Amino acid sequence: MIDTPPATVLEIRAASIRGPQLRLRDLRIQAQGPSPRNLRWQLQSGAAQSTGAMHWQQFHAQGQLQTHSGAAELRADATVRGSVLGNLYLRGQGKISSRAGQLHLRLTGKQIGSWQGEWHSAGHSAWAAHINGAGTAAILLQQWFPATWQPQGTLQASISARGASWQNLQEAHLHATLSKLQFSSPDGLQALQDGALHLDTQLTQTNNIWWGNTKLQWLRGAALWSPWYTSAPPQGITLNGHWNYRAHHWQVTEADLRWPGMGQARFSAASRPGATTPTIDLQQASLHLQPLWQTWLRPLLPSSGLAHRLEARGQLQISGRYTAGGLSALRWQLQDASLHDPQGQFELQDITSQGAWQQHETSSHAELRWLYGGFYGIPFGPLDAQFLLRGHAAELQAPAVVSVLGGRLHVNHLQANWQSASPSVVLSGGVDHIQLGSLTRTFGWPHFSGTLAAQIPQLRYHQGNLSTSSIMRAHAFGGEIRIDGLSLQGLFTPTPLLQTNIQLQNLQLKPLTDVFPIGYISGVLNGKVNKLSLLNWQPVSFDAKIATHRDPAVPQEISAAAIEKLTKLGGGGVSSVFQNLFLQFFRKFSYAKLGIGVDLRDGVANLSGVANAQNGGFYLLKGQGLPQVNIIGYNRRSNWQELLSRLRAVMEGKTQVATGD
Amino acid sequence: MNATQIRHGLRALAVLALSLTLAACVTVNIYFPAAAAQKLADQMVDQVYHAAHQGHVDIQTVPEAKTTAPAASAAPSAWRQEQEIHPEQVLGYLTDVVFRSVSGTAQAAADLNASSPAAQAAKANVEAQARELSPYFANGAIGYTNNGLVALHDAAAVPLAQRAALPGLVSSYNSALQNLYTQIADANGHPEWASQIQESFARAWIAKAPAGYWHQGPSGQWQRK
Repeated sequence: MIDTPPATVLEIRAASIRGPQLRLRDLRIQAQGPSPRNLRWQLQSGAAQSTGAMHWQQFHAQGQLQTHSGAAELRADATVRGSVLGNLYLRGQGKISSRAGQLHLRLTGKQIGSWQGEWHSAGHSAWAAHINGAGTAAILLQQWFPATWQPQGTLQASISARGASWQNLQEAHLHATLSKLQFSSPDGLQALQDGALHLDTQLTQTNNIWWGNTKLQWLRGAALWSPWYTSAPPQGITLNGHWNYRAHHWQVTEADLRWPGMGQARFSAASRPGATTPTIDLQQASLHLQPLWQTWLRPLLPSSGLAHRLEARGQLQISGRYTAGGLSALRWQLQDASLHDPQGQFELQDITSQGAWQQHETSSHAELRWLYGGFYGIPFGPLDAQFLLRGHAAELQAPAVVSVLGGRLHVNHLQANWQSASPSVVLSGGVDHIQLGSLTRTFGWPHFSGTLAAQIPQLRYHQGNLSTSSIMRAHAFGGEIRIDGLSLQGLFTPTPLLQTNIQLQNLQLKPLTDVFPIGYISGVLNGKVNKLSLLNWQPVSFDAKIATHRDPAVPQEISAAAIEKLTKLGGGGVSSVFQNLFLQFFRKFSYAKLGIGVDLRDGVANLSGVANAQNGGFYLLKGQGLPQVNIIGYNRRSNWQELLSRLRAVMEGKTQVATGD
Repeated sequence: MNATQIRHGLRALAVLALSLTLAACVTVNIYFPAAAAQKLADQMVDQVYHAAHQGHVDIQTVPEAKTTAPAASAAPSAWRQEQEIHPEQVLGYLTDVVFRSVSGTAQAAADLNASSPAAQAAKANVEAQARELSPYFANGAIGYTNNGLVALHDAAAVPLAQRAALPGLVSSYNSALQNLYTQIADANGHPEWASQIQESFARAWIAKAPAGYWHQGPSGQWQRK
């Protein structure tokens, strides 16, 4: 007769278990064996879910638990189906006593990959653990990015940890490599392609404070976070930092960012309890301006116009502080810098600048120097300017002078304001000794020489537009030119539009005709050009009237050559009779009035003179005395381009005197 | 004077009084010249598409010809018909002439042009930006909306490096388009027409878009031309 020991059987079944956080269906736990020290067990359950989340559809585990000599030995195999991590297979075995223990686990799954873990306890509750493996990073990435961004990638990681007691993690070391990373937001404006990151972190805990050293490397890939786009350089981008964490408060005590080709930066940062934005102290950044401008600064500027085209070079050293209220302090030093527009509308060369700015200080200072530059092809000379900086404004401390076109530009007052989203600049000053010959050559206008002086009471630049609400006065040819209501829209666009009104007062014709190769004319000229519009620097509309007015001190005389050219300007010619009878005997003629009116509209110039003549004609020149010469125009409408080409030909002296035969 | 003549005379006076009363209460409505606006929009859109395709900006110092709404109908055809003419008809016609002379202002304003310097500058700016955006229209990254602007349609059609600037380019082009509509309305002395001009352009951008361009339908759904 065989003596069979009584079997130990334990079975628990529950159709449904509900708790505040978990709901479990069809639970079955079964343990049986020859004795309580040697049990085979099984654990099964149906769907487990918590509020809004399904943990698994089905769970099944089985194994053996043996206890002897104060130690428990456990083996287990588990299968999880329909979990958030897909189907999982877990195999583990371990041995635990009151003094020591060890566990080995292996977890595999299609999505999660393959992971192995070991846990050892050498006694006195001290323990050490190690986990390593590789799998998909999608689950990890979904913690940071919405599922609709479809984050993907692979993760390879190794974690070592140890603790002094069961509940206490003392030290940990994590190596993780994320590769083949990619995601894209539904609108495609935030995306990562073929990314690779490496993370190496060591952390220790003392007195409930976590201390960490972290090295994060971006090794490969291209990232888009509109409006910024950048890709990892071949050497990778490295961030090294020392940090600590205590009671929901973290602090980066020292960090170092190295970006090959861009530069490097040292900074610290800290979060304050209750604050959503950390305080960042940039201790020192040494940056190459070209990649900094292209990658980070230019994308913030408007996508059309000069800012979009401008290229920058140089070396920039900056430090500063960023708080919840925004940038609060900045110190910089810019060396060997240049700004260059490939289309030639603007350039500054050999720029140096340094300064310090604080948001809440009233008297920070900055200086700006450049060696030379150009504006719409007009070269200008060096600048050495000192600025007083306030919270959201910079002001020129002392008048500055820039040489331009053989003369000088005086800047008496200059203030830049960036309080609003669109900064503005206000300038006042003047120019003197500007060589008109250089100016006309630059703009391709008919050449004339002479000098120009002008006062600029106030000039304002805002959102790509230049405007002045006051009258600018220039002195030339013994008279005054007043420019009123000047506005320049789209200054650095392909189609700048200048609009203004101009008044001419007491311009001496003799010096004027000395510089224009039109022949000798003496007299005093008044005139006005109303509603002048220059589109891309070419006139498209204006209403102009200029005419002489009598000044007893100035004779009103015109040479025969000037008569010929004025006649040619009108499209006519001088008859051979006139040439034979008068030009050979008289060099000058007196006149009563000389003038012209041009109303340009829709490409057609409507012409008028100083008085109406018979048969629909109009006097351009009304002579007096004997011999008397009148120039009468009959064609009141003229194609503007044709008139302009005639004017250009006259100015350049290419006109051949026609006989009119 | 017989009874018929008296009756005709009284009727004529009544018509005259009524006509004068109506004439005295005339409100001159200047209607938006929809046909002229559409013609102008079609013309300018053609030029912008052409400039974008050719890769050059056409800065016109000689602007395009004015476009005019269809002419008003002539005098009532009854005037030319041989029939008995009653005094009230004469008075009615005279009143009609008076009315037409008043409402003639409205007809004169029915011209629409884009020849102001600001409108020309706005158009040149649109052309310059359309040229830059041309490849993005062609590959479907952006398309014309049903309100005369542009929007992102499929940013993923553009390589990542170029995609970063796309929202800024779209925003800048929309500003240029809005400015064009405003400047045309201003050039015609009716700033309040800007939205209707924009509607005319919206139709033109879509109707004249090259094959393959994406645009929004009336309910906002994207479709390919």
